[in-house]
Amino acid sequence: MKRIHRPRLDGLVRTRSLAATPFPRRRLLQGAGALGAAAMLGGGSAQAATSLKLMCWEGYDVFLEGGDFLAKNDMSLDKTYIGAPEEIVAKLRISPREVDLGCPYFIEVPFMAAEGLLQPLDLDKLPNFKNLFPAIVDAARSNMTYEDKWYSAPFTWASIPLMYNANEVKEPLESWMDMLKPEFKGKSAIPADPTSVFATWGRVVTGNQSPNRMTLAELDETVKFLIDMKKNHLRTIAASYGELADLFARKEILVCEGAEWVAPLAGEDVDIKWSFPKEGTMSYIEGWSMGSHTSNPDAVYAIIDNALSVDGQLAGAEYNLLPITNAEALPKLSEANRSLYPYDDIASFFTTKVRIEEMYLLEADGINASWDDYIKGWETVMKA
Amino acid sequence: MPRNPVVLTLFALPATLIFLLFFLGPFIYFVVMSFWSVSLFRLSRDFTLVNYLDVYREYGYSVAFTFAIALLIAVIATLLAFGFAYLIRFRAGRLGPTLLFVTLITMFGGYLVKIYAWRTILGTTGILNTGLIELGIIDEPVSWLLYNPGAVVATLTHFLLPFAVLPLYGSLRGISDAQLAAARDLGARPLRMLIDIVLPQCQPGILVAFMLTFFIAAGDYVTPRLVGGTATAMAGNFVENQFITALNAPQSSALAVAILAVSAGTVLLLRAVMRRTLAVR
Repeated sequence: MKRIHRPRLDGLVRTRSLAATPFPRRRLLQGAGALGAAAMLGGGSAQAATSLKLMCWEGYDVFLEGGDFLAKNDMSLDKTYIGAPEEIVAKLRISPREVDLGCPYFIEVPFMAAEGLLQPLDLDKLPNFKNLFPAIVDAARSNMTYEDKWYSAPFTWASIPLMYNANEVKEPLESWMDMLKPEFKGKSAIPADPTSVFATWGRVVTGNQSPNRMTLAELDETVKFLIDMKKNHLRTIAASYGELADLFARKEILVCEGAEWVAPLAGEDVDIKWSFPKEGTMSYIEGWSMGSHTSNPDAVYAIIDNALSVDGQLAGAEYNLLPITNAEALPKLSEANRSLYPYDDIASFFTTKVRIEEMYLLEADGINASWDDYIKGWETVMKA
Repeated sequence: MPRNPVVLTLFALPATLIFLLFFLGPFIYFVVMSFWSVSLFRLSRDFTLVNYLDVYREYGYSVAFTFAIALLIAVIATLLAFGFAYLIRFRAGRLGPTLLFVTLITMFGGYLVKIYAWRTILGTTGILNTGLIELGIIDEPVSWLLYNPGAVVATLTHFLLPFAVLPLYGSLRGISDAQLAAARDLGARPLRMLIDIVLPQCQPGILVAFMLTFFIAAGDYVTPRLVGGTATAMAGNFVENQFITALNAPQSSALAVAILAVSAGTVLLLRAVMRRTLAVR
């Protein structure tokens, strides 16, 4: 979950807040039209028989609703869009009955399971789980399971490649350090997403292949590197991943740390390409989890399974420009979406191109950096 | 206007309730929360001053920087707005209402629209760079127009200008033409009339215009993120970071309270200075 994603609303976070989901004008107009029509018809429909309380990134709900699932099942969703996945943790702690399902950041799932905030998933009640790409299931397993039980069901994923404007950059970039070449001074950017920034540059600076588990000394070294990069090299720190697309489109930058779906958002005037640098880059997998106190587990299973179904996958993936996890949806996927993600060799992608990170330490031990230390480090970069 | 106290109370009740429920209540809650702490995403309702110590130790520079930027924006916006409101009130004649209407119309543009408009103006491929190149003044785009504190000042000043114009125009409307005519007949020059008649009677409008622009600028965090570049992180950005990324509501509450205290102090100081220097003579 890298907060990466969501292209629509900006927000910082280690996750996708930054992203902001792609939100084409056409969709906006469609929405406005629908709203107007509803108003003209007198609005309000009869209350659905089943209502579920959902917490997720804006746009992810489309996965759940695909194939007109809500209408067919007389169901409705009481949605709360998050600005950071930790909001789900906090909500489950304060009001566990207020969250039937959500999409916690997958590295936090074991912690949440151990804390009793989530229910283990009975995979027999998720028939579409067996259709997921085995490589994705394998990649998700370490973070989405706890004591051999699945607590989250993967429905999409993405990664943080090195992106560049191929109209101007003729030679493929193979290393994150290429971004620091003199020709990219004042022409490069990173997102305001501490999760991906530390995962990317912590690995580059310190060589630590588990950048979420850096020592305090390594974190300090990375912070100093980022401050120098910020002061002397970057054009800006983009408010979101969607913002990176805008920066490409306006020719403000030539290279950045981005996400696959940034490319189509930048428009047809710029040829955005990307690489997975030799130092490695992070990937994240998004999954649906069930709150510990849901009052209607059967309905939750049904809608999560729909998100994993062909209809749900196609609806969510096309809407968000994100990849699918259900192999059976692949034949029906648009060419545009296929061109963004390595469906042909997804197994080696997860084992050789990208890395799955683990949870940060939540409590300081004096040697290794905790999540709070990462946050402070990021603020040090911002303040410098 | 009814004079019955019961009726007056009933009239005031809705606004009072809204104020209490949606402003004072949450504000008190945040003040209380600023003395709490967080551990593993869980609020701990103990009493601690560490959040305020951190405001001083960790965010002192950011608060000062935010204060400076907000002050600059408020001063520029208030001065520009005064000039514009003065024009509408005393110089524009029948064109005045149209100018006032135009001022109101700009408020419909929306906050983000104005930010993106300034990015379009100041960007590498923006209107300004393109125009300068077309005029032969520069050979290639200059990059320093955007992503710096100056871009934040320009954007927020533009956005806040209508908020300053309206209270100032309201104050200027209250000034009697007869007073100005009498002063003129007695030989007062325009500057003397401005100092002795217009400004003293405009005090409330000036104060409100300054407050609106200063408070909004001091609390903003979107504009610096979108046009401020790498060196314009304002206190609001850290409030957001602590609230959303760290889920540390007590720390962000303390920072917000500190910003509010500094802002309120500034406005009270301005008010005292204005009372002393712009007293009605």
